[in-house]
Amino acid sequence: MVLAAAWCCLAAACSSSSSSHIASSAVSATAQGAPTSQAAPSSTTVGPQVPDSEAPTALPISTPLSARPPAGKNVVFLNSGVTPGQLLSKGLGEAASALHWNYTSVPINQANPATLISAFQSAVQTGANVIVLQATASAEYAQLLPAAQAKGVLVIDQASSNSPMPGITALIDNGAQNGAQWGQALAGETLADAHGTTVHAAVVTAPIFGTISDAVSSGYKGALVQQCAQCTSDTIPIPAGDIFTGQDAKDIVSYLQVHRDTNYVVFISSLLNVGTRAALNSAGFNSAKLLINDALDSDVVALQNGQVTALLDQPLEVDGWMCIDAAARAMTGGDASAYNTRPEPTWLITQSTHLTGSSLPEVPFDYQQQFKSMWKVTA
Amino acid sequence: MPGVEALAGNDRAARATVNVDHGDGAGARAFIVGLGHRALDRRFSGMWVLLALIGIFSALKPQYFPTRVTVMTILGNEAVIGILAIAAMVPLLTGLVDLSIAGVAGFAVVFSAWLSTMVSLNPVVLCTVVLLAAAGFGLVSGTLVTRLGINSIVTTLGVSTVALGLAESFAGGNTITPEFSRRFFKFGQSHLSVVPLPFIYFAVLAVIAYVVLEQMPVGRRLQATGSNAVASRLAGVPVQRLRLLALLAAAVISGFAGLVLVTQVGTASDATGPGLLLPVLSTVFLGATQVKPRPNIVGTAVALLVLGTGIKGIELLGAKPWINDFFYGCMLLVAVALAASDVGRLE
Repeated sequence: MVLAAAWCCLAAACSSSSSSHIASSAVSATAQGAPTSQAAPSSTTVGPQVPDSEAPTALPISTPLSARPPAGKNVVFLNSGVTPGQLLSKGLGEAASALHWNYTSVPINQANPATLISAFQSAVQTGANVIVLQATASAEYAQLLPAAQAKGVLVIDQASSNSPMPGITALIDNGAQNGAQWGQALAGETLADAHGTTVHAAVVTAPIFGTISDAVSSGYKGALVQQCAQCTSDTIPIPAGDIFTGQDAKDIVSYLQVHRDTNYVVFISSLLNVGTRAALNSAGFNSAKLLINDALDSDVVALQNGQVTALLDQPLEVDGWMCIDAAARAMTGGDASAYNTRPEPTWLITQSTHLTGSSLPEVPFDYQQQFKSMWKVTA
Repeated sequence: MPGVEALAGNDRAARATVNVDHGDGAGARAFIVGLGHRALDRRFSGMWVLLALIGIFSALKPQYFPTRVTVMTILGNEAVIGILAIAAMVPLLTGLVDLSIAGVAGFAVVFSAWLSTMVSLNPVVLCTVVLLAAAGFGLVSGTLVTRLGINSIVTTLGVSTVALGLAESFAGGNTITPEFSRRFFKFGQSHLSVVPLPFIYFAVLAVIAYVVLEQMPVGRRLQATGSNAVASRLAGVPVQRLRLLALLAAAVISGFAGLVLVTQVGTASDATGPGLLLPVLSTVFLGATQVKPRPNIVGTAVALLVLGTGIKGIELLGAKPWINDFFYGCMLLVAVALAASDVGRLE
C-alpha cells in the first residue's frame, strides 16, 4: 500500500503537464469538433458525403425457385453458443419451419475442434440433409467433406473467410468476400462524421478472427486514405485472452495514450467492444468516437445513449434464412453458390437513424415474406 | 548449528550482524549493512522490480508512462484481479486451492446483469442476492471438500464449470446490457482523485484481510491449518470448519469482484470469468514469494502492482497481442521457481 502511494505521488509529480495536455486537448476537441494535438485541422478534400443510409429492401438473390422444396429435410447447425450463433440459430429454425423441415442445433466447443469433428460426423451418420457451420475455418472440417458429399449432405458455411471448395454448397456472409465492403462503408461514415477534419482512426482487430479482421481493416484503411490523403488508420490487435473479459478495453486505452490524436475507434466486430466507452471516458478520452461492424443488440442501446457514433447492421437471422434458401436452391436444381459472391443485406445505422425499439433490426423488414414467396410457400 | 544458520537465510544473519557492537562506529556500519542485507533479501525483490519497471518504462516512454492516466488505468485494471487474488489467497492459507474464483466472479457478472433486466431491484438488495448466490458455490465447494474429503482442485474445478454453465444459461449466448441505476454504475466507474473506486475497494478489502489473517487468532489458526492440518487438529484447531469458511469467504469475495467488474465494464458476457484465472494465480503465487514465504496480503499487493505495471508498460511500448499471456505465464513460472528454490534450500 505504501508502494502504491509512493507510485501515485511519483506519477502525480510527473503528470501535471501531461494531464493538462490531455485536458486542454479534450476541451478543444469538444469545443471545435477537431482531433487532438498533432495534426492541425485540415482542409483536405473529403469524398462524396455518405447520405444517411436507408434500410435495404431487397435480398441478395431474388430469383424464385423452380419448384417448392421437398418437405421433411433435416437441418443441423453446429452451434458454438456465442451470440451470433444464437441469432443465426433462430433464423435457421424459423426458415426450416417455414419449409416444414426439421431443425436441430448441436452445441460444440469452438475452442476444441474435436467436438466439431464429432458433431459433424454424427450429423452425417444420423441422416442430416443440411449441415450449417458458423465462423469455422475449412481446415477444421475439410477432411469430412468427401464423406458428406458421398451421402448427398449439403454443407453451408456462414460467416467464415473460407474460399469456395468442393463439398461446400454455399458461403453465406463470407468475410473474405464482403469484409472490404464493410470496411469501406464504415470509412465513408467516418469521413462524413468528421466534416472535413483529419481522421486518425484505430481499427480494433483480433488475430483470432483471421482474414475477416484483415479484410475489414484493409477495406477501411483503403477507402479512408483514398478519400482523404492526410487521414491515417492503424490497427489495435486484441489478444484472444482479452476478448470478452473487459481486458480488451485496457488495450485500447493504452493505444490511445500513445496515439493521442486518435479521434475514431472502429471495431471489426462488436465482440471486441466490451466496456470500451466506460474505459475511455474513465481515462479521459471522451472525444474518441466509436464505430462498430457486425453490431449486436447491446450496441443499439449504446448508439441511442450517444456512446457509439455508427454501427453496421448485418442481420444474422436473415443469414439463417439465406442458409436455408441456399440449401433449398441446391435441392431444386438452382445455383446455391451464387451466394458466394452476393453480400448479405447490411444497414449503416447512425445516431440520426430512426429506430423503433432497442434491438437490432433484421433487414429487409419483409424478408420472411420475400423468402416464402421465392420458395412458393404460403404464409 | 551453522547449517541451520545458513538455512535461515539473510534475515537472521542480518540481525546477528546488527547485534554486534564494537563501540567504535562499527555498530552503525553494521546496522546499515544489516539494512542492506534485509533490503536485498529476495523477499523484498518485488519492490525493487517495481521501481526498476517504473524507471525503465519512464525512460523509454517519458511522455506516456509517468502520467496520471497510466496510474489510473493500472489501478483500475488491476483492481478486480486484486480482489480475486485475496479471494484465492484465503483458501490457500488453509492448504486448499480454489480454482472456482474466476468462474464464480463470471457468474456474478452475468447474474447481476440478468437480474437487473428482469426485475427492478434496489442496488443493495441486488448485491445481496448476488453475493448469496455466490456464497452458494462456496458452500458447495466447502461441503464437498470438508465432508466428503474430495480434493479441492478437482472440486473447485467442477464448481467453476457449473458456475460457467449457469452463466451461459442466464446469458443465453448474448451480451447483456445491465439496467443498473446511474449511481450503481458509478460504484465501478468513479474515481477518488487519481484512484479508481474499484482499487479503493481492493485496498479496503486488503486491509481487512491483513488484520484478520495476520493479526487475529483466526488468521493464525488458518495458517496453522495450512502448515500442518493434522497437528492443528490435534491441537484443537477446528480445521474442517476453518476450511469450509475459507472457501465460503473466497466465493463471496469472488462474487463481490464480479459486481465491481460488471459496474466497471458496463456489459456482461458469460465469457468474462475464465480469462481472469491466469492473472489472479500469477499474482497470488508471485505474491507468495514476497515479504513472507507463503501467500500474504502485502506480497500480493506488491505482485499486483508489479504485474500491472509490467503489462501497462509493455502495452505502451506497442507489444504484440501474445505478450500479455506470455508475460503472465512467465511471471507464474518465475514465482513457482522461486518458491521451489526456497523449499530446496530448506531441505
